[in-house]
Amino acid sequence: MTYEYPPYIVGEVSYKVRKLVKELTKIGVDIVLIHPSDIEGVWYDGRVEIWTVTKSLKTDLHIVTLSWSLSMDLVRKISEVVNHYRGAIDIIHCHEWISAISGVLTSLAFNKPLVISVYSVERMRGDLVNLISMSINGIEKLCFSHALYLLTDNDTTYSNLMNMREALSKRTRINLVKNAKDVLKIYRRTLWRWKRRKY
Amino acid sequence: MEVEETKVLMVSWEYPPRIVGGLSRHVHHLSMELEKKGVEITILTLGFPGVEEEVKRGKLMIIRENEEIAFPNPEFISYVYQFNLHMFRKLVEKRVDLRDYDIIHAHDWLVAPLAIELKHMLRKPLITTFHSTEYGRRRGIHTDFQRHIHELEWYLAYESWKVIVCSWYMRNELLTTLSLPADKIYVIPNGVHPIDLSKPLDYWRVRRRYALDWEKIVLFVGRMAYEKGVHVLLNAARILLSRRWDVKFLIVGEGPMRSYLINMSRQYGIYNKVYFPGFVDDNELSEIYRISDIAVFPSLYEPFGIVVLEAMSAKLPVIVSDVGGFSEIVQSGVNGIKVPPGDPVSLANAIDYFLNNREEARRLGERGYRDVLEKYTWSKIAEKTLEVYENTIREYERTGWKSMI
Repeated sequence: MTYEYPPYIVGEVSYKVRKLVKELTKIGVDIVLIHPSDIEGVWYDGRVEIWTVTKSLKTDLHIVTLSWSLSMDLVRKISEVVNHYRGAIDIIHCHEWISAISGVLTSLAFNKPLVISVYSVERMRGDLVNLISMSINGIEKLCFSHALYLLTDNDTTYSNLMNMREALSKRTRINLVKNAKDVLKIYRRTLWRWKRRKY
Repeated sequence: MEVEETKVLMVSWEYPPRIVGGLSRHVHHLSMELEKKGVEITILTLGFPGVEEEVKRGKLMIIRENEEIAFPNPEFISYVYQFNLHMFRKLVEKRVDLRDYDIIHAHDWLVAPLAIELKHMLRKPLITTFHSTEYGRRRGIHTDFQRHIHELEWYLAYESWKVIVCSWYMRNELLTTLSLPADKIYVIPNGVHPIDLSKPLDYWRVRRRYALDWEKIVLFVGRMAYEKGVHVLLNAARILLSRRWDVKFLIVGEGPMRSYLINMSRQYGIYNKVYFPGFVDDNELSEIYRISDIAVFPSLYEPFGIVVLEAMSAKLPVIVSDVGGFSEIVQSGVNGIKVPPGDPVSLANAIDYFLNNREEARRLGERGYRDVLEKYTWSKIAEKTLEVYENTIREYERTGWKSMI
């Protein structure tokens, strides 16, 4: 799940996600990617299966209500995908905190492991003083605590995540990943840990 | 499917002991009666620290999320989204088998995110009871904050298999403001637990707390808010007190306009004839109903108006404004009197009529009492709700929209 994917571009994340999923499909991972769009449908970007979802609520007060209201639509679409594949989805992988809320909900509902890719955290972007920034920071901590793995591709985010570690659950592990092969290794470890979990 | 096998997941943001408004009591009484009829119910709700997280009574289970605020929120809507997520986490934590439920029943927009998500995750039909709408509460949509709530209500109504409202007035409101198709809406009134008239009462001792022996007590019960029309009642009181002096107005309840209304009665020079006891508990309130002579409810907006049923169950003659749910409960000259909303002269005349015609007032009070027992008991409301459940399950079973997991 991602908030952005070409041609829906907000920042660099859309390109990073596209590069990653294309490389993952090349090394044998089946990917179903969900992202918000202006129309609902299914299309293919190479071997990547893409399901788009529209946003039902049109008035948002700020980024926090946007992320919460979007999560209702993402959950709706993920449920559709999971049912379409009769539950045969192994891992839920979210990119950034905006899509992570729906990741937490569906990981709990469908009993699937959650992996979150983090490209930056609120303590790097915001001041953590105004309520919106504090709220984003709270959502990040809450979602990150549900994940088995937090993946990042840059050293700054990695060190910030390591600083947040005290606030996260003990099961959450933080990894620096540079390419699709690193991510594949994490997927394997995720499945291995998920089979042996005691929670 | 037999009634005994029906399993319902009811979601509400308030349930006793957490009481914010009338919703809490509604969910409590409805669930109790449904359970008596054999329905298995889980209520997922919010509590507060110290309240039992999980309670099981027969076929009724209550699951409470008690620690709902994990981080600060910019405004109330974000807080609502946050506690919805926490409520779902609590449900999963309790290891309830979610696939067992036949129906998800949500109450109001405050649980909309969770209700919509549950519907899609479980692929089970969603029924929603709308107790009011943002459009009705605010007399229109004026800000982005209100619009977001309005859109959430629209989304919840859109995703609901069936929608329950408490009055035909509310049905029209949903038809026009949420663009709902008419065949999706069921009108089921609210219920009431009648005032126990057989309970011993030291009539004069209670009465002397509020009025002199020769004064007739005109009662209002409700929130001190603009839409309840207490300011109209004070205007009517001024008119009536210029004609006769043997009346005491007893205005029970709390709310944002209370001090304004007390000042208003001072300015009108009727302060010694209007008594504002503030919030009273259920016991005291039932005593007040029994020692009063007339009950008056001059609301300007009223989706249902459960207070009028309480007054009628105490055999009190009632005067209501001709709005919303009141218009449907009261028939003028049959079980009460209706007056135009916001019209203090008509209201004063109606009170005067009842005070001058004691026998007629008693007759209307008796008829109101019979109407409550015939139409508005929680047992009857639960029966009608059960019919909605059964219709929905029948329709759902004929569709291919089922969980494939």
